Amino acid sequence: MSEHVKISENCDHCGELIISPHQFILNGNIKRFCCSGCETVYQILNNNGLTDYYELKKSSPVKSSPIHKSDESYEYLDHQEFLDKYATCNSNERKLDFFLEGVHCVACLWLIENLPKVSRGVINAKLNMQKSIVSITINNEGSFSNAAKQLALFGYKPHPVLNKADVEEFQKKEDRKMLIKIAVAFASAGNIMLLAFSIYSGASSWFTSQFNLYSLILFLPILLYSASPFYSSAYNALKNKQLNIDIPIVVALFLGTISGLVSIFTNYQHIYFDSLSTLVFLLLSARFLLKKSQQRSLDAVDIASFFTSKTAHKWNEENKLFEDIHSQFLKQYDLIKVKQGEMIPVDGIVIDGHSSVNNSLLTGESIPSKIAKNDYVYSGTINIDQDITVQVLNINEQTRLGKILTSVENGWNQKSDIVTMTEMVAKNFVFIIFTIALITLVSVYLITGNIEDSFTRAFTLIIITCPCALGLTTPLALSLTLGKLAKMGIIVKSEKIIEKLYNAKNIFIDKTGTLTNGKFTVSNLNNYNGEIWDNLSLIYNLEKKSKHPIALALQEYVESEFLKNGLQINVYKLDDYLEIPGIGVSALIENINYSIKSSKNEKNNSQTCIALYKTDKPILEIYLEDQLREDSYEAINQLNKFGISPKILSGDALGPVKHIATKLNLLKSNYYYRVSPEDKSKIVESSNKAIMLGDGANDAIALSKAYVGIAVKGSAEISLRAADIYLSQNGIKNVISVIAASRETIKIIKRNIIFSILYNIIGSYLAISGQITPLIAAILMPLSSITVLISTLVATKNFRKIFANILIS
Amino acid sequence: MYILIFLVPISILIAFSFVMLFIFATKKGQFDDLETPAFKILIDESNKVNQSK
Repeated sequence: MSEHVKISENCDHCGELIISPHQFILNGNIKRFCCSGCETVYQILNNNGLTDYYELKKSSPVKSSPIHKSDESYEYLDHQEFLDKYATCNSNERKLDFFLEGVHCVACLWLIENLPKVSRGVINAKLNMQKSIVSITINNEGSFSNAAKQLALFGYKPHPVLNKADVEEFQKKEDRKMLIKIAVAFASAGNIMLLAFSIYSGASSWFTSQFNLYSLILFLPILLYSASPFYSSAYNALKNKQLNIDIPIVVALFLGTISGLVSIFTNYQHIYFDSLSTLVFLLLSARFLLKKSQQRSLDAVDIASFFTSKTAHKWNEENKLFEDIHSQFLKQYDLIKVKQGEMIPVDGIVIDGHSSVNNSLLTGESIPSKIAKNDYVYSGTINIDQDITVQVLNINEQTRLGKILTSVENGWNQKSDIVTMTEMVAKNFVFIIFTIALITLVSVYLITGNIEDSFTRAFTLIIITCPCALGLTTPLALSLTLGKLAKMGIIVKSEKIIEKLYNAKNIFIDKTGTLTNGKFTVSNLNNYNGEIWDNLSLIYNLEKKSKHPIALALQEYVESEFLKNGLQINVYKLDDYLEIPGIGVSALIENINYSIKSSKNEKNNSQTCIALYKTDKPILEIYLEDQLREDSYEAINQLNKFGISPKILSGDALGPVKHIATKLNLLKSNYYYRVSPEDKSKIVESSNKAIMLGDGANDAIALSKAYVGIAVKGSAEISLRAADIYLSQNGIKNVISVIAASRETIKIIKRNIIFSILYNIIGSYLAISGQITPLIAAILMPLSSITVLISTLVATKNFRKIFANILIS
Repeated sequence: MYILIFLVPISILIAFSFVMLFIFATKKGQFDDLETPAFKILIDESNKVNQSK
């Protein structure tokens, strides 16, 4: 009798749908996972008694993603030089901060803060949910590299925060001082208001003069202490002969105090202490809220620095081995090893080894060049073939790449057009307002002859007008978006890119791996010449070094076929190995030229066909299939809805490309096949405002020439050299997310600007016509700032939900 | 009514002491991270790590 075992469709760790029933372990019940990463994490949690994690996760609204096995090395974290510079030391303990990707719920918080239970030597792990930064304290037994590895294993990729330790301390102290100033302002303002209320309600003049005196006393702490940020800001601006938005406030404070003092000594009724104290309190609060909001996310420069070249393998003469250090500590004449597949971090000369390097970033050529002893190599190129030892000649900005890319690197923090425009308006704003205030003062006096009324109107005008949305919230919206995207694993180099995404008109998408799963499977073989097992061995040897999806598929296929039949794969020695990205590989084996590339046999099949050539004669044909991703169709629709015209660029043959394009409803003019990397860049360049989606290493030229370049595969450090955006997760989903986020952000900014303009116009009119008092103005102005600020915060808070809804609808 | 002359300064004194308490709490770092404690309330005592196996 067969039992019906209920098999769950979803991974027991991350909840994703299980496509290939990958692993399962027996635990009394069968647990199924989508990948070995999730299985590993489940085992660790189980062994350490941490399965409450799954209970907590149920309350989280956000799904987590499958665990990606990362091959990143964290050994450089233990190096003494690194620790001295970036870790804080307290007796036996050391503390270091890490930015974590993928933190989103209370289960994450719980798991991360339980790190001491799992990782030896870790005393404390304190997570700040807002910033996604964890502070790890270790004792002498522990090491940061172990802690980092453990966090990466759990699915939270860590990046050490390279701020000097004391910057953080300084920021904290500044924030505390600000809080105290606000508290003092609030206490004073509140009490002054209580007294002012009674005066407004008609207290007799004896009380009035007494309460005026009390108000003055209460106002002193604000005048002398709480308002100091405005004084220093105004002073700095005036020193540079410029006007800024704090100057009107200082002027208002000054005028208000003087007129208040005069009132007290001449027993005149009207004082402004209530308005001014409320103004200072509300303004300080708004500014503080703004500052805290900006601290929620690291700015573009910080985030980008996480993904630049970190590990270098330096030769240690004393210990006679290569040790991992952070690449910034390299000095001239150091010896380093650059492993196969790694980016060369410096300019240097090859001391040992021979290999080939991908120069596409420097020369624009996709064909790799060979290097051997005594050849020069340059920073930013990728070592393809074999490990080499290099002597460092130039580092960092002195490298050839560094000089070439100076303008590009300045793009790390390029200001967007909107921000530059708003800054200009803000600068002139104050001058304009003062002029209008003066005109108001003079003209009202001339018309009515009442000095007090004209003074009040001008005073109110100065208080109520504010370019807050322009100067303050636009940068905030942009930096919040960048931060939120970073937490989702989407790295955007600068704020200007968000604006560009809003304006983009076309998008070129790489077929393999983006629209398709990128997992080729062998569907058919045609053997023309020679023994099939020999040919398969040849293929295996040729494809061993390549990371192209086809190469990986072939390796897997050959391995499993040989395993099935209990055979051994022959190992051949390769000479003159050459991989041309996107085209194929070739090498000399026993003096005969073998190559693997697209089959010349164009049957317009919907499947990819490649062939093994022996001196240009095909001896084995292989048909490969790659499945369309399930979210691709929806994504293309979404792109059309955005008004961005999608096009496919692929090095693959007409057959498979046309097959995919038809499935996605793309017209004939919207797909390109058999495109080489040089062609890609020409096509992208000539297209109007085109986004390019491609491989960070192989499409570097096209990515750098595109209006916006998005890299979807490969290592972050290599990709970010050429591309503007790097997606650490595969698939087209995140592309839609980042475009949607940009549009949302620009919409928010436009909304805020319109609101600000309307507010200023209406406010100015009310002030000049004398319809509102300074007190009302003092409340309205910060209120408008806070409104704009809160609407920005709320709108960006909902990004995740927006993305989820877009893909469903 | 003239008792107010006495009462108002007293209320100011009370306000002052509250401000001092706030300053004390701020210096001790209680207001540094306002977001994370909000998440921590979702964690029950029963979610403590199971030591015995």
